[in-house]
Amino acid sequence: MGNCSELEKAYMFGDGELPPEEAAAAIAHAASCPDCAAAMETHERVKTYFSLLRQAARPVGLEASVKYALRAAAEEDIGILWRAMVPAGALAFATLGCWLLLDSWTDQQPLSDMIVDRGSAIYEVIGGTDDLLRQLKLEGQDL
Amino acid sequence: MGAIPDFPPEKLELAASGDSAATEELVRALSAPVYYFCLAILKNGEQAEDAAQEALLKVLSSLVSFKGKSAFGSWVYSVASNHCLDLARKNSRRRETSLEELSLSGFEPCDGSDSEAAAARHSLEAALAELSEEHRTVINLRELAGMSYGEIAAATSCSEGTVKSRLFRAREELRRVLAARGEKPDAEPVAKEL
Repeated sequence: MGNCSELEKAYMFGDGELPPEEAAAAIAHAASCPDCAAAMETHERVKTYFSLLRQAARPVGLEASVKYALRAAAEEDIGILWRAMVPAGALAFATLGCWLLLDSWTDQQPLSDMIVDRGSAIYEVIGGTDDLLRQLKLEGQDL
Repeated sequence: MGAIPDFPPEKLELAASGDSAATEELVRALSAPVYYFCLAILKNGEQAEDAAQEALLKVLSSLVSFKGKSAFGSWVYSVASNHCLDLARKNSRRRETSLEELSLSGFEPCDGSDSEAAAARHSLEAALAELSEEHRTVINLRELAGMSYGEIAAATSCSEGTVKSRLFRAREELRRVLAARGEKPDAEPVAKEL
Protein backbone atom coordinates (compact mmCIF):
# COMPACT_ATOMS: atom_id res chain seq x y z
CA MET A 1 0.00 0.00 0.00
CA GLY A 2 2.59 2.54 1.13
CA ASN A 3 5.55 3.47 -1.00
CA CYS A 4 8.05 4.59 1.60
CA SER A 5 11.08 2.33 1.96
CA GLU A 6 11.09 2.94 5.72
CA LEU A 7 7.60 1.44 6.30
CA GLU A 8 8.88 -1.87 7.64
CA LYS A 9 10.90 0.06 10.21
CA ALA A 10 7.77 1.97 11.24
CA TYR A 11 6.11 -1.34 12.14
CA MET A 12 9.24 -2.70 13.81
CA PHE A 13 9.31 0.48 15.89
CA GLY A 14 5.76 -0.31 17.03
CA ASP A 15 6.88 -3.84 17.92
CA GLY A 16 9.72 -2.45 20.03
CA GLU A 17 12.18 -4.38 17.86
CA LEU A 18 14.40 -1.45 16.84
CA PRO A 19 17.57 -0.51 18.73
CA PRO A 20 17.36 2.95 20.38
CA GLU A 21 19.24 4.86 17.62
CA GLU A 22 17.09 3.34 14.86
CA ALA A 23 13.94 3.94 16.91
CA ALA A 24 14.83 7.63 17.26
CA ALA A 25 15.50 7.81 13.51
CA ALA A 26 12.14 6.15 12.77
CA ILE A 27 10.28 8.73 14.88
CA ALA A 28 12.13 11.60 13.22
CA HIS A 29 11.36 10.14 9.79
CA ALA A 30 7.64 9.64 10.57
CA ALA A 31 7.38 13.33 11.51
CA SER A 32 7.89 14.20 7.85
CA CYS A 33 6.45 11.05 6.18
CA PRO A 34 2.64 10.74 6.22
CA ASP A 35 2.83 7.12 5.06
CA CYS A 36 4.98 6.00 8.00
CA ALA A 37 3.01 8.16 10.44
CA ALA A 38 -0.23 6.51 9.27
CA ALA A 39 1.35 3.06 9.54
CA MET A 40 2.45 3.79 13.11
CA GLU A 41 -1.04 5.03 14.02
CA THR A 42 -2.80 1.99 12.56
CA HIS A 43 -0.31 -0.27 14.27
CA GLU A 44 -0.97 1.42 17.61
CA ARG A 45 -4.69 1.02 17.11
CA VAL A 46 -4.33 -2.69 16.32
CA LYS A 47 -2.18 -3.17 19.42
CA THR A 48 -4.79 -1.44 21.60
CA TYR A 49 -7.54 -3.59 20.12
CA PHE A 50 -5.63 -6.82 20.78
CA SER A 51 -4.76 -5.79 24.31
CA LEU A 52 -8.52 -5.36 24.96
CA LEU A 53 -9.17 -8.72 23.35
CA ARG A 54 -6.54 -10.36 25.54
CA GLN A 55 -8.26 -9.02 28.64
CA ALA A 56 -11.70 -10.10 27.43
CA ALA A 57 -10.53 -13.59 26.44
CA ARG A 58 -8.40 -14.23 29.52
CA PRO A 59 -8.25 -17.98 30.28
CA VAL A 60 -9.69 -17.85 33.81
CA GLY A 61 -9.93 -21.56 34.62
CA LEU A 62 -7.05 -22.95 32.55
CA GLU A 63 -4.35 -22.95 35.22
CA ALA A 64 -6.64 -24.67 37.72
CA SER A 65 -7.79 -27.28 35.21
CA VAL A 66 -4.19 -28.15 34.26
CA LYS A 67 -3.27 -28.56 37.94
CA TYR A 68 -6.37 -30.71 38.47
CA ALA A 69 -5.45 -32.91 35.50
CA LEU A 70 -1.89 -33.28 36.85
CA ARG A 71 -3.20 -34.29 40.29
CA ALA A 72 -5.62 -36.77 38.75
CA ALA A 73 -2.80 -38.30 36.69
CA ALA A 74 -0.58 -38.60 39.79
CA GLU A 75 -3.39 -40.28 41.75
CA GLU A 76 -3.94 -42.67 38.89
CA ASP A 77 -0.23 -43.55 38.95
CA ILE A 78 -0.44 -44.32 42.67
CA GLY A 79 -3.56 -46.43 41.99
CA ILE A 80 -1.69 -48.42 39.34
CA LEU A 81 1.18 -48.98 41.81
CA TRP A 82 -1.22 -50.23 44.48
CA ARG A 83 -3.02 -52.47 42.04
CA ALA A 84 0.35 -54.02 41.14
CA MET A 85 1.52 -54.30 44.76
CA VAL A 86 -1.52 -56.09 46.19
CA PRO A 87 -1.19 -59.25 44.04
CA ALA A 88 2.59 -59.21 44.52
CA GLY A 89 2.17 -59.06 48.32
CA ALA A 90 -0.44 -61.80 48.28
CA LEU A 91 1.88 -64.01 46.22
CA ALA A 92 4.75 -63.41 48.65
CA PHE A 93 2.59 -64.36 51.64
CA ALA A 94 1.30 -67.47 49.90
CA THR A 95 4.88 -68.54 49.04
CA LEU A 96 6.05 -68.05 52.63
CA GLY A 97 3.02 -69.96 53.94
CA CYS A 98 3.69 -72.89 51.59
CA TRP A 99 7.35 -72.92 52.58
CA LEU A 100 6.57 -73.07 56.30
CA LEU A 101 3.99 -75.81 55.70
CA LEU A 102 6.39 -77.94 53.67
CA ASP A 103 9.11 -77.29 56.17
CA SER A 104 7.03 -78.60 59.07
CA TRP A 105 6.36 -81.85 57.13
CA THR A 106 10.06 -82.70 56.68
CA ASP A 107 12.29 -84.50 59.24
CA GLN A 108 14.55 -81.52 59.59
CA GLN A 109 14.18 -78.93 62.33
CA PRO A 110 11.18 -76.74 61.45
CA LEU A 111 11.98 -73.27 60.20
CA SER A 112 10.02 -71.62 63.00
CA ASP A 113 12.19 -73.46 65.60
CA MET A 114 15.33 -72.44 63.73
CA ILE A 115 14.33 -68.77 63.96
CA VAL A 116 13.70 -69.10 67.73
CA ASP A 117 17.07 -70.92 68.22
CA ARG A 118 19.03 -68.30 66.25
CA GLY A 119 17.38 -65.52 68.27
CA SER A 120 18.31 -67.21 71.55
CA ALA A 121 21.89 -67.70 70.39
CA ILE A 122 22.24 -64.02 69.53
CA TYR A 123 20.75 -63.08 72.90
CA GLU A 124 23.26 -65.32 74.68
CA VAL A 125 26.23 -63.79 72.85
CA ILE A 126 25.08 -60.27 73.81
CA GLY A 127 24.48 -61.38 77.41
CA GLY A 128 27.92 -63.01 77.53
CA THR A 129 29.58 -59.83 76.32
CA ASP A 130 27.81 -57.84 79.03
CA ASP A 131 29.06 -60.29 81.69
CA LEU A 132 32.64 -60.02 80.41
CA LEU A 133 32.52 -56.22 80.52
CA ARG A 134 31.15 -56.26 84.05
CA GLN A 135 33.93 -58.69 85.10
CA LEU A 136 36.67 -56.53 83.56
CA LYS A 137 35.33 -53.42 85.31
CA LEU A 138 35.34 -55.23 88.67
CA GLU A 139 38.99 -56.16 88.05
CA GLY A 140 39.77 -52.47 87.56
CA GLN A 141 40.68 -52.67 83.87
CA ASP A 142 39.48 -49.51 82.26
CA LEU A 143 38.52 -50.02 78.67
CA MET B 1 11.65 -10.65 24.40
CA GLY B 2 9.07 -13.37 23.82
CA ALA B 3 5.88 -14.14 25.68
CA ILE B 4 7.42 -17.12 27.48
CA PRO B 5 10.19 -16.35 29.96
CA ASP B 6 13.42 -18.33 29.93
CA PHE B 7 13.62 -20.87 32.72
CA PRO B 8 16.94 -22.01 34.20
CA PRO B 9 17.76 -25.64 33.28
CA GLU B 10 17.75 -26.64 36.98
CA LYS B 11 14.15 -25.50 37.30
CA LEU B 12 13.15 -27.48 34.20
CA GLU B 13 14.96 -30.57 35.53
CA LEU B 14 13.11 -30.23 38.82
CA ALA B 15 9.77 -29.99 37.01
CA ALA B 16 10.72 -32.95 34.80
CA SER B 17 11.48 -35.01 37.91
CA GLY B 18 8.00 -34.27 39.24
CA ASP B 19 8.75 -31.50 41.76
CA SER B 20 5.32 -30.00 42.42
CA ALA B 21 6.50 -26.43 43.19
CA ALA B 22 8.55 -26.23 39.97
CA THR B 23 5.70 -27.75 37.98
CA GLU B 24 3.22 -25.24 39.38
CA GLU B 25 5.55 -22.38 38.53
CA LEU B 26 5.78 -23.62 34.95
CA VAL B 27 2.02 -24.02 34.67
CA ARG B 28 1.53 -20.48 36.02
CA ALA B 29 4.00 -18.98 33.53
CA LEU B 30 2.91 -20.99 30.49
CA SER B 31 -0.88 -21.06 30.78
CA ALA B 32 -1.65 -17.64 29.30
CA PRO B 33 0.95 -17.62 26.49
CA VAL B 34 0.03 -21.14 25.36
CA TYR B 35 -3.68 -20.32 25.51
CA TYR B 36 -3.29 -17.12 23.46
CA PHE B 37 -1.18 -19.04 20.98
CA CYS B 38 -3.89 -21.71 20.60
CA LEU B 39 -6.51 -18.95 20.30
CA ALA B 40 -4.47 -17.25 17.58
CA ILE B 41 -4.30 -20.51 15.61
CA LEU B 42 -7.73 -22.03 16.29
CA LYS B 43 -9.65 -18.72 16.56
CA ASN B 44 -12.16 -20.27 18.93
CA GLY B 45 -12.13 -19.66 22.68
CA GLU B 46 -13.46 -23.02 23.85
CA GLN B 47 -11.30 -25.06 21.51
CA ALA B 48 -8.31 -22.94 22.45
CA GLU B 49 -8.79 -23.60 26.16
CA ASP B 50 -9.06 -27.37 25.63
CA ALA B 51 -6.12 -27.37 23.24
CA ALA B 52 -4.01 -25.28 25.64
CA GLN B 53 -4.70 -27.69 28.50
CA GLU B 54 -3.72 -30.70 26.41
CA ALA B 55 -0.67 -28.93 24.99
CA LEU B 56 0.48 -27.92 28.49
CA LEU B 57 0.14 -31.50 29.74
CA LYS B 58 2.10 -32.65 26.70
CA VAL B 59 4.82 -30.07 27.42
CA LEU B 60 5.08 -31.18 31.06
CA SER B 61 5.13 -34.89 30.24
CA SER B 62 7.83 -34.48 27.59
CA LEU B 63 10.05 -32.06 29.55
CA VAL B 64 12.67 -34.81 29.88
CA SER B 65 13.11 -34.75 26.11
CA PHE B 66 13.90 -31.00 26.07
CA LYS B 67 17.68 -30.81 25.64
CA GLY B 68 18.00 -27.03 25.57
CA LYS B 69 19.11 -26.90 21.91
CA SER B 70 16.53 -24.18 21.21
CA ALA B 71 14.99 -21.55 23.48
CA PHE B 72 12.51 -23.05 25.92
CA GLY B 73 9.71 -20.79 24.63
CA SER B 74 10.29 -21.88 21.04
CA TRP B 75 10.15 -25.53 22.08
CA VAL B 76 6.88 -24.99 24.00
CA TYR B 77 5.34 -23.21 21.00
CA SER B 78 6.41 -25.98 18.64
CA VAL B 79 4.73 -28.59 20.90
CA ALA B 80 1.58 -26.44 21.08
CA SER B 81 1.71 -25.77 17.34
CA ASN B 82 1.88 -29.49 16.47
CA HIS B 83 -1.02 -30.13 18.81
CA CYS B 84 -3.15 -27.34 17.30
CA LEU B 85 -2.39 -28.48 13.74
CA ASP B 86 -3.40 -32.05 14.66
CA LEU B 87 -6.63 -30.73 16.13
CA ALA B 88 -7.32 -28.53 13.11
CA ARG B 89 -6.77 -31.50 10.80
CA LYS B 90 -9.01 -33.81 12.87
CA ASN B 91 -11.65 -31.17 13.21
CA SER B 92 -11.55 -29.59 9.78
CA ARG B 93 -15.29 -28.96 9.83
CA ARG B 94 -15.13 -27.07 13.13
CA ARG B 95 -17.23 -23.97 13.65
CA GLU B 96 -14.76 -21.17 13.32
CA THR B 97 -15.83 -18.51 15.76
CA SER B 98 -13.98 -15.38 14.82
CA LEU B 99 -11.84 -13.78 17.49
CA GLU B 100 -14.17 -10.79 17.42
CA GLU B 101 -17.01 -12.98 18.69
CA LEU B 102 -15.18 -13.56 21.95
CA SER B 103 -16.79 -11.86 24.88
CA LEU B 104 -15.98 -8.19 24.85
CA SER B 105 -19.04 -7.55 27.02
CA GLY B 106 -16.90 -5.80 29.63
CA PHE B 107 -16.33 -3.04 27.09
CA GLU B 108 -19.90 -2.29 26.10
CA PRO B 109 -20.51 1.28 24.98
CA CYS B 110 -22.49 3.39 27.45
CA ASP B 111 -22.45 6.90 25.98
CA GLY B 112 -21.91 8.69 22.70
CA SER B 113 -18.11 8.72 22.70
CA ASP B 114 -18.04 5.04 23.60
CA SER B 115 -20.30 4.11 20.72
CA GLU B 116 -17.83 5.92 18.49
CA ALA B 117 -15.14 3.69 19.98
CA ALA B 118 -17.30 0.62 19.46
CA ALA B 119 -17.83 1.60 15.82
CA ALA B 120 -14.07 1.96 15.37
CA ARG B 121 -13.57 -1.44 16.96
CA HIS B 122 -16.18 -3.09 14.74
CA SER B 123 -14.60 -1.53 11.70
CA LEU B 124 -11.20 -2.91 12.70
CA GLU B 125 -12.71 -6.34 13.38
CA ALA B 126 -14.35 -6.33 9.96
CA ALA B 127 -11.06 -5.35 8.33
CA LEU B 128 -9.21 -8.14 10.19
CA ALA B 129 -11.85 -10.61 9.04
CA GLU B 130 -11.17 -9.62 5.44
CA LEU B 131 -7.52 -10.60 5.65
CA SER B 132 -6.31 -13.91 4.27
CA GLU B 133 -5.97 -16.80 6.75
CA GLU B 134 -2.15 -16.54 6.58
CA HIS B 135 -2.14 -12.79 7.27
CA ARG B 136 -4.71 -13.02 10.05
CA THR B 137 -2.78 -15.82 11.76
CA VAL B 138 0.56 -14.00 11.70
CA ILE B 139 -1.05 -10.84 13.13
CA ASN B 140 -2.78 -12.92 15.82
CA LEU B 141 0.48 -14.63 16.75
CA ARG B 142 2.25 -11.30 17.10
CA GLU B 143 -0.47 -9.16 18.68
CA LEU B 144 -2.70 -11.61 20.54
CA ALA B 145 -0.14 -14.23 21.58
CA GLY B 146 2.53 -11.53 22.04
CA MET B 147 5.17 -13.72 20.42
CA SER B 148 8.55 -12.47 19.27
CA TYR B 149 9.59 -12.83 15.62
CA GLY B 150 11.85 -15.74 16.64
CA GLU B 151 9.06 -17.54 18.48
CA ILE B 152 6.70 -17.17 15.52
CA ALA B 153 9.43 -18.49 13.25
CA ALA B 154 9.95 -21.56 15.48
CA ALA B 155 6.23 -22.23 15.81
CA THR B 156 5.52 -21.92 12.10
CA SER B 157 8.74 -23.64 10.97
CA CYS B 158 10.00 -20.77 8.85
CA SER B 159 12.81 -18.24 9.06
CA GLU B 160 12.67 -15.01 11.03
CA GLY B 161 13.07 -13.08 7.76
CA THR B 162 9.97 -14.79 6.36
CA VAL B 163 8.03 -13.91 9.52
CA LYS B 164 9.07 -10.25 9.26
CA SER B 165 8.07 -9.93 5.63
CA ARG B 166 4.80 -11.85 6.14
CA LEU B 167 3.94 -9.62 9.08
CA PHE B 168 4.77 -6.53 7.07
CA ARG B 169 2.56 -7.63 4.17
CA ALA B 170 -0.27 -8.50 6.58
CA ARG B 171 -0.14 -5.08 8.24
CA GLU B 172 -0.02 -3.26 4.96
CA GLU B 173 -2.97 -5.33 3.76
CA LEU B 174 -4.90 -4.37 6.89
CA ARG B 175 -4.11 -0.72 6.34
CA ARG B 176 -5.29 -1.01 2.73
CA VAL B 177 -8.56 -2.64 3.80
CA LEU B 178 -9.16 0.04 6.43
CA ALA B 179 -8.48 2.76 3.88
CA ALA B 180 -10.86 1.10 1.43
CA ARG B 181 -13.53 1.18 4.14
CA GLY B 182 -13.01 4.92 4.27
CA GLU B 183 -11.22 4.89 7.60
CA LYS B 184 -8.78 7.44 8.75
CA PRO B 185 -6.26 5.67 10.99
CA ASP B 186 -6.73 6.82 14.55
CA ALA B 187 -5.60 5.05 17.72
CA GLU B 188 -7.75 7.04 20.11
CA PRO B 189 -11.31 5.72 19.65
CA VAL B 190 -10.48 2.09 20.50
CA ALA B 191 -8.42 3.17 23.50
CA LYS B 192 -11.45 5.04 24.91
CA GLU B 193 -13.20 1.70 25.42
CA LEU B 194 -10.96 1.02 28.37
